[in-house]
Amino acid sequence: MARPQLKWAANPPIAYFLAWAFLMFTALVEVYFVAAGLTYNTLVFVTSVGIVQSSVIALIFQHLREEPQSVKAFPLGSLVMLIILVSAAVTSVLACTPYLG
Amino acid sequence: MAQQITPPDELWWLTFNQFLIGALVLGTFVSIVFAYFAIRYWEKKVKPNEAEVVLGPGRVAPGTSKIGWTRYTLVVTGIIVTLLILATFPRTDYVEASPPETDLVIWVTAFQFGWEFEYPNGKKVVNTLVLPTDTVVEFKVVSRDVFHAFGIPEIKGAKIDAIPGILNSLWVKTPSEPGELNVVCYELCGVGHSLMVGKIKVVPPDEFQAFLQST
Amino acid sequence: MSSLRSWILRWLTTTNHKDIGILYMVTAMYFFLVAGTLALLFRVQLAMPESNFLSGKAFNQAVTVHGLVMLLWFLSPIQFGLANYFVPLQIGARDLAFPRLNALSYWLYLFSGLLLIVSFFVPGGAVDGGWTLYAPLNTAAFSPSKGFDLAVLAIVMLSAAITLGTVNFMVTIAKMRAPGMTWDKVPMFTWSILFTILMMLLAFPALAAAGLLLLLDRLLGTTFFLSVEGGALLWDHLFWFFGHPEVYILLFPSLGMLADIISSFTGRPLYAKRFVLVAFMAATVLSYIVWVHHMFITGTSLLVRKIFSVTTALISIPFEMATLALILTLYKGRIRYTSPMLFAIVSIPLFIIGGATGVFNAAIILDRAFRGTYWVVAHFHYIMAGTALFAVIAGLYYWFPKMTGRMISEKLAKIQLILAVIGINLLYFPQFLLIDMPRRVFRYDYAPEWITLNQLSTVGAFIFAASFVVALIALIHGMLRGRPSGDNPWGAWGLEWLTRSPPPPHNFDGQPVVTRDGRILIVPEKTLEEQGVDKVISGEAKVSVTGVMTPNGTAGHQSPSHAHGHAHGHHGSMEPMMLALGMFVAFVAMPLGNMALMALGALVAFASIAKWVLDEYRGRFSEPEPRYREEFPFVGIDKFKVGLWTFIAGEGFLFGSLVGAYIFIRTRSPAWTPGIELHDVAIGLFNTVVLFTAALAMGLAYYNARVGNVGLQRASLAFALALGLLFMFTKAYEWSKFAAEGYGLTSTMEAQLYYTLTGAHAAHVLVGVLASLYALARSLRRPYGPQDARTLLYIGIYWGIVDIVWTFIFPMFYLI
Repeated sequence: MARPQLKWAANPPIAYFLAWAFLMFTALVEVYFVAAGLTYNTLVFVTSVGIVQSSVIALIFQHLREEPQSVKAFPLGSLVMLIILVSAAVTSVLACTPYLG
Repeated sequence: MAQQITPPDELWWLTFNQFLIGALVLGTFVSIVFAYFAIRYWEKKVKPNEAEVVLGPGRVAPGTSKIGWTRYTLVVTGIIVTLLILATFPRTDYVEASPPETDLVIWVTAFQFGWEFEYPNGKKVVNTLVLPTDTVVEFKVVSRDVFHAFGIPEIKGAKIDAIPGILNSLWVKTPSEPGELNVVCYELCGVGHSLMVGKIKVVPPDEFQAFLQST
Repeated sequence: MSSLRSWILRWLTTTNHKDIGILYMVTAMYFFLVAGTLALLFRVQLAMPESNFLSGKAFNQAVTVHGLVMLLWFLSPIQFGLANYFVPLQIGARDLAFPRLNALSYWLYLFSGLLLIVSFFVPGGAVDGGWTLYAPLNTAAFSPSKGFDLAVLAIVMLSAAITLGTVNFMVTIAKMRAPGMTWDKVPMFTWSILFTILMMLLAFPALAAAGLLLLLDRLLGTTFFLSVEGGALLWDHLFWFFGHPEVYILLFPSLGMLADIISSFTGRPLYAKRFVLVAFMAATVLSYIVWVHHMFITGTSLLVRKIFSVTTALISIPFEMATLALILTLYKGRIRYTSPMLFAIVSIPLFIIGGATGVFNAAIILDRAFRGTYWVVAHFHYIMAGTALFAVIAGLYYWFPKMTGRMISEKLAKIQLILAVIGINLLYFPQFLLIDMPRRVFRYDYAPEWITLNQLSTVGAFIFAASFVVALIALIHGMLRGRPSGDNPWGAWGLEWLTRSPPPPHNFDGQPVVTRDGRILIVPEKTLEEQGVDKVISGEAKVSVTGVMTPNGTAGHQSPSHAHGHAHGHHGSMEPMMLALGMFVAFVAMPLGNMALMALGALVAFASIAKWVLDEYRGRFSEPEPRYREEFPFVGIDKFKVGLWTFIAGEGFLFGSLVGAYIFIRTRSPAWTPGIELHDVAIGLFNTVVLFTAALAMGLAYYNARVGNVGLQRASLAFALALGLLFMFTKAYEWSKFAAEGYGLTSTMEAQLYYTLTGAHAAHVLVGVLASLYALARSLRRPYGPQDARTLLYIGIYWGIVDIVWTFIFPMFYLI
């Protein structure tokens, strides 16, 4: 049972710097767009940026791209369950009749 | 008036009986299979050629995938359960919506530890509510402090949570004979929870009108 | 005298899974006696409609503590006591993956339970809000008792213990199975524990999040559960998102035990095991999407309720599969009705009753009558005190000979069984008929028709309690006077019966191997080296087997020195106990406002952590991973990495629950000041840059450790540490500025959420800072090389999750 080696030849630190530069750039663009009111739907925009940034962090800095499916399944599986929790909680509350008497 | 309206508790009993029949049929079937096998294959009863012992010391149980008629049982149960649930949906819609015709709207405010009732004309009473017979009553239920649950034990399905900040409603059809009902809190709301018992006096309509006009 | 001292010391410092298993079981039994006594007290109260036996407050305390203790401190822990003892034995491992973490889980569990018991003796008395602790009654405004604070602290502490436990069992079951023990051959009890921890992993963080928010409310004056924006429904969602999986968390291990016991005493493998596993998987996933059925009359959206009504009905199907499989395992068997088998078999009809009545609860219209009544009490007690508890007794009696080397008296066990069956039915069946009686009331003088049913129930309670007195006698008698059992008194299958009773510290005198056709061989490691493990599994190799069964049912043994090359490290460690004790002292002192005691407890806890880290630093406890094992699907992946990702999944859920609370409150707030108007975006952006750069620094440290550049490795670590500290200082500055602007912790809902979420995040940054500090110190003394660079990778993965959380928290509070 040979331990699969991490592919270092394919992963020079340049990948880290590129990922870092990308994160910096997206962070600035995110703030600029929101502050300047350039977004069509701010909620969707910032959520998308968050998902893209998280994916870059997970794939590059947490080295998920080098991991087998079984390890990738942890964050993916819990993400699915999280979405269920949050969306059910939010949809279920929208229809309650508020009473502030 | 509201004579033709089906009271929610009638639908409750209909649904309950359907579920009870389903549960009894399936439960009895499974129990009979269980009891039969449990006795039939007892080592004191089973004939040597009937038992096929394959597991013993020094072995690990294998994964088995023979399923036989069990799968049909599962499918049948699945269908029964789904049908039972789907059949409840129109009834749920009926009891959850406002009543087809409302004769009387009562605001109920739950508090630690009691019930305040308010009639449409602004008359307020605490803990003892007077209602006319054979009337469709809608309760608008709110809470002043903590989580309570407004319920009438004598009428099946007459129960709704009283939650601060939320307005819930519930409707019932009062009995056709005069009498007395209880109002009970069904969610632990503090030290006086058990004492949070109110009364509903169901009286003939003329008596009710007289009560409503009195101060 | 010194032997007594060493005996005590052994139990305080043990890290062996079997010792800890026994500690769990004994502790759980103690909590069972406490909670059972409370149950008898309120059953006496309820025997009369207007009794003054208990005051209203005492009654509420009794029902509340009874519920909490039975579910969280008795049933689950006693199952995990058995799991601690028997999961490693069933899969042929020498211990759990992280023995000291396992000890820490136990001590946190014990002290969290004691915290709840202590709460009876503090001002205001014990918690009295019902085990569901509904909001807003759970806030200090309505329940000022200090005991309530202690109960919430206990719940949070227990959640921590359970999260550590899930990581441990996950890695153990996934990566430490004996060669040939493929997933298909893994016994059902171990399988059920795997599904249980999957549910625990995602359910308990929601409880912990609810508990933390409640603590902030109670101790620091926030209003998450008091305000109408959060309030009752926020608690309902968080609590029941935990609460419903919890039901299956309590049930699954019992079903697993039943499967193993029934197949042992029939000689038949579990019927359609693969379908049962599919059913378990389906139930695990479905268990997360049924919780709204606890909220059917809260006025929640009707569409959502209907969806949950269908999922609730459908979850009965997997359990029907499990029940039928248990029943059909009897088919063509030779059933031996020993005491464990009798308890196992009796739990099946109890499960049919409890399960069938569960389907009723799926209907929204029916639930309007059931909610808050004794019908529900009867339903879930048939499952919990019936199926789950009877299976636990069956499991205890089944494995008792293995744990003690002695037999339980069959006669006592049968007396117990008869009392238990009569007792439980007399206790709970009348409660189905009490369908209109509200739960948790101590008087019901307005409904005379309930009196007789309640009296029957009380009589049943005492008969049921008597059965446990007999059980206690049977256990003690068995331990002291029981007939010697030999190694395999039941003629049972499975690995746990191929070792001595009780098993030696290293479990097996050799390496267990399971052949492809399901035979178990205990072979010396030398043989595996010479013949190759694959050939041993396929049965081609000629091996000198040490674990053969002699005709009288005992395993032949080779002397241990020959059997395995390396002695099992028997490490004692005081730190887990001291850490939990320190937390206990600090938590008791916290609501009482005793700063000195709190500081003392915190000091003890931090000193224990420091000692622990120091041991790690010196490599004192490094234990080699087993050489031969099944580890699909984690082949070649380090156990720490599997553990870390498991832990991170739990952490993700903790933050997910907090973010869920934020969305929930914000959606319900009539007005909300967007973050961009409230906070300084420049400061937030600065911290974003700092955090992202820290991830880069950790990446570079890892890279330089791999390529052996010591200078750059140290520089990168120092840079990461500096950035972490910079983040913390910026955060502190920002907080003080915000507070000075009039937005204190207890001001607006926006501010409360801001402090809570960024605070929870900053606490994680602090852990990252400490981890970087440790790495830097270690690097300065002994630089990381290619062989141990993975430590830096793991710290990097942790920094990554801190960053990922920030990518969402930043826009939540600074942009929208």
